[in-house]
Amino acid sequence: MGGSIISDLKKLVGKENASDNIYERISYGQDAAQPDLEPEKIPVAVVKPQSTRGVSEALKYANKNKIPIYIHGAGTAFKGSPKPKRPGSILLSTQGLTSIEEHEEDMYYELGAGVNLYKLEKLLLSRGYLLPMTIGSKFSSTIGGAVSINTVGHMVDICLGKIIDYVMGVEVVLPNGDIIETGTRSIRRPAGLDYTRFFVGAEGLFGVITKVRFRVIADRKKAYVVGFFPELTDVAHAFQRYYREKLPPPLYGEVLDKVAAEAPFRLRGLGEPKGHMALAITISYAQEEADREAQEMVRVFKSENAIDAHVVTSKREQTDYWDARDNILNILQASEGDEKLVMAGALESSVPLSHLDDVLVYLQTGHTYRALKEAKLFIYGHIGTCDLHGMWVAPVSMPQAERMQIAKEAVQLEGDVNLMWGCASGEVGQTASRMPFFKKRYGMAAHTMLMNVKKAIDPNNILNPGNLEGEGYE
Amino acid sequence: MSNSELAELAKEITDNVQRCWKCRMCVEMCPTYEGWFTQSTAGRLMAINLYIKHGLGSEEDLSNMLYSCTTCRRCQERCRILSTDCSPADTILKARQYLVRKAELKGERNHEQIP
Repeated sequence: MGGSIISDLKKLVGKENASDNIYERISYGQDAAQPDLEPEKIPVAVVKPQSTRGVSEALKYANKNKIPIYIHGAGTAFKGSPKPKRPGSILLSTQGLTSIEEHEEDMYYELGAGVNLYKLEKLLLSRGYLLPMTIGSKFSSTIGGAVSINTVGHMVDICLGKIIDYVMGVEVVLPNGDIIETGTRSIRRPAGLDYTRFFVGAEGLFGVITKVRFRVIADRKKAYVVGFFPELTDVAHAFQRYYREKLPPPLYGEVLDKVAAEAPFRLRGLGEPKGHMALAITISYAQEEADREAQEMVRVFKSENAIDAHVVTSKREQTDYWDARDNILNILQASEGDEKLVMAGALESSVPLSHLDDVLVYLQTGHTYRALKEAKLFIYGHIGTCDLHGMWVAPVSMPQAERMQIAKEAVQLEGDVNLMWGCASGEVGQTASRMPFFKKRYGMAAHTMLMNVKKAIDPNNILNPGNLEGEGYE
Repeated sequence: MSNSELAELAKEITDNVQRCWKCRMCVEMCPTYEGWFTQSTAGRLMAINLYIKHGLGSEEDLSNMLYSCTTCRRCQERCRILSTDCSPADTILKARQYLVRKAELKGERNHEQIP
């Protein structure tokens, strides 16, 4: 069967765009944080169509033959959505769709789903625009992946909005291979039925996004703030106070705990961090206004016990602090004795503003998970948008079973946080490994409704099957 | 090189690969990357691990992938600055060494594979 599938696919998308090499099949079958892939679930082929027509041909083929097909942008997803859940699947990468059409007269760019975010950011900046998202994996990730998750990454959602606010329409290939277009070419979104929303943030359940009509916005003036605090909860209190005072939401509001900051600080020659670090960027059309908001942020930081807080004007200092935060994986360059560290478990949750401090305490000392308590915890996150991360690390020599226990407890803890405070992920998606939590949080009636919608659009359930079901994660 | 030394080299290589987080920040910037994952550093690291740890794939495929690396070391610097510092370029060089030593031990030294 595998042999005939690959030869059929080569005919459909071109032999240079299909592979059954074992290394390709396994590499594409994994994502950034879900490296385990059961042997029977290794896809039988990888296809990388260079056009929407090619995507359509591959989907028609999969639908006709009832072959599961998993969609892969750059493979930087965190919660297992591009990973095959069923045997005998095809893996389709959208990275070959790299067209860029400029329509600045109508304030949009039409982008192939495979356009790399870093290249896009540089292009937009060169034209005086701001890319309203900062995805941690931007050096490799794609616009199609970001739109499928509807994530702005590290940015504060209530400052410039979420991706859906910028997507004027999409081109989508449905599971039966039909190609449809949604939305508008006007900067005003359709009122009423706006089925672009069926696909933005749908995590590839209902169709494969092949093109995105992306509205551009003019770049803004920025001002940078840093603060160091004795307690992590002080940082939480600072942002709670900032919003309570009805000040304008910053573009970024970040936190990095003192231990997590040590390795990146050392790497950049910044010495020891003075405390838990908070960073913010305020923005406006006028520099004076951005500066005024930054001064307000400094005032608020100081009123919540900051050891030091100031507006960062030196370009070098701005780069150092922000690189220290953005390159968070540097924390894994710290060592445990003679041993290097690896990530064993991770949490991401967007929590209610009034409970930011409670969640920080809970992550550190409030829970009873044994393996997590024994592992080293780093806390960081986008605290200005109430999104917190925990990363539990272990020495590289720790046996796999013990590391898996940490991973398992981290998932349970994440579910506990979301259930206790009534929230969900704001950054990396809701399906695949998060479905067990989803079912608890929203109930089986909500899950059944979504399954029925999926069935109506994809009756053979060929497109990313198992993700909505939560297969392999129960 | 003895069998135990080869095993030690294999462990050193796979420990390094284990530290790779699959963040894929070394993919797009790799000068040999033309769209397939195995043409990039991260793809090479995954293949090394699959071959050494799980015996998957062919030695010839792996060798071709390893020797297509230009050893420009841009990935190594990016990994140090942005990610987990898993020494990807050094690991690729060590994996080349591993294949040669393994062939030597089997009495099948292939001079074409020696740079």
